[in-house]
Amino acid sequence: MTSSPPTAARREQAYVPLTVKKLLAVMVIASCLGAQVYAAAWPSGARWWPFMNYPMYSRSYPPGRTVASYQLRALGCGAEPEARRIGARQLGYRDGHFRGELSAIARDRPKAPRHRARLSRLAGARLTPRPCALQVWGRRAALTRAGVSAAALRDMQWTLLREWRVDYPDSARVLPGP
Amino acid sequence: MSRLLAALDRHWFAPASLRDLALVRILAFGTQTFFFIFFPGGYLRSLEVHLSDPSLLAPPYRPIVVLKVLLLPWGGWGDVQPSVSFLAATLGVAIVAGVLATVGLYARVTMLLAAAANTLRVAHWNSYGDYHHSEGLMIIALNVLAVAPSAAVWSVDAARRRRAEPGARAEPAGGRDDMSVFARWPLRLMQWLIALTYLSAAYSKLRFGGLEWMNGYTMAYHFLGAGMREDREIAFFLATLPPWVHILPSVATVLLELTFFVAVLVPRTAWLYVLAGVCMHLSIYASMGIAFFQTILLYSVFIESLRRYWPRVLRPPLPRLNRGRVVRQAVGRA
Repeated sequence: MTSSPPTAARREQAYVPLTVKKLLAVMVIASCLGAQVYAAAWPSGARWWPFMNYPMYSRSYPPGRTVASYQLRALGCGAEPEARRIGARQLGYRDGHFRGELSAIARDRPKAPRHRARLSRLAGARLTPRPCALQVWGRRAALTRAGVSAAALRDMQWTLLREWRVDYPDSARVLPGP
Repeated sequence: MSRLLAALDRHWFAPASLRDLALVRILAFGTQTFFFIFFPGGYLRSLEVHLSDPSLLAPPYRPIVVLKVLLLPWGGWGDVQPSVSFLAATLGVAIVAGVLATVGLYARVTMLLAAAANTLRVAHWNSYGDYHHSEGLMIIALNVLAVAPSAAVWSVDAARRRRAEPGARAEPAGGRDDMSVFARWPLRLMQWLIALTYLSAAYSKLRFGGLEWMNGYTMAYHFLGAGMREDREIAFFLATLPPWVHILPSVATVLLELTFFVAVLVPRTAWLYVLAGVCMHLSIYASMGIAFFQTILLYSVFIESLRRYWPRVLRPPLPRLNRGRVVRQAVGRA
């Protein structure tokens, strides 16, 4: 009678009894599935990450809704200041937060003064050369019953919505919307 | 009752190929490490720039539970905010341990270290009020693979063990030698977690959007939003298509998400769901720039079903790729 060389499968059984290993595996399985079901049934953002619910893009939209997008632009100093577009990462922002704050400023939400102050502080500290003023520009497109008009998209223009001096965030000028 | 338990035992612990598990280990740790090496500042959520000056933090630091747990050795519950040097060290650990875990050297330790470093870094990224979903499943997969016999074959450790044994073979073991009752549960668990995440997405659509989510206008609206945010020409083009064009893809999306669990229960259908899922994620990426590459990669947990039931007509014409052995599942032998 000859003995075959030990294999990976046999070797792993030699160290720990099979039932104990199965029990441990069952505990991992039950914990993961339980956590995922809990996170999906009782959503709480990223609290229980990496177990989460997945509600992205789940709202429905009828015709007549509009979509707006916003840009932050920094205005240089001097007699003929140049404006340049500022991205979220240049100021140490995440995209989602950044868009939310620009939207709040453009719509004069209650938190707008706080957002303007923070943007001013970050722009003053992080941008070179230091800008003198910040601007929020916006554009808007509509979803009509016939869908989205290609001609309307072509004609879409960026419009200046708000402007304030970096050193005086409360100096926001309200400009006519698009 | 005993029949139910036996069925559950077969479902989770029927002998399966350790090579399948090893393949998923190589793909998962390999890809994460590749991204850490080649995109250290962006793709896998590096936050060093935020930490250069705490007073310049845009969103405030709000550590999530996992991060609080992982940082407990360095301070009280939620009191520790990682420094730049600490994050740089975790990046180093993620890369070194990730490479070793991929090749399977000191795999027991390196897989755990790589999983922990990945978890810590992405959890830290998610601790500033804004979070992303794309890495969640992959992080769970890394941790599950780290506690499973993922490096029992196709690893440097396995090769070294073979050489050290008397009567050692140069070639890795084949046939039934690479079957184990513990090779199935990690892949099965990930299959169920993928199915549950899709089910969660479908549930949200039906709950918050209702059947109107499939009215064509909703998808046009999302394309328009993506185009407006990032000036994506293809998103603008898709938004301008007549809304009825979007009805079929909308219905297909909800159906796919709602029934993905069938791929787990009926392995013969897995190829169809995997193919549809890959197409869905790639088309979303191409049109809206939303990347779920990790989920596409994690479809590899269906490798056994794909190998057995992938239609012949869809097999690549290269003869070398079709030479794979079919490992039949032995049921009821633990």
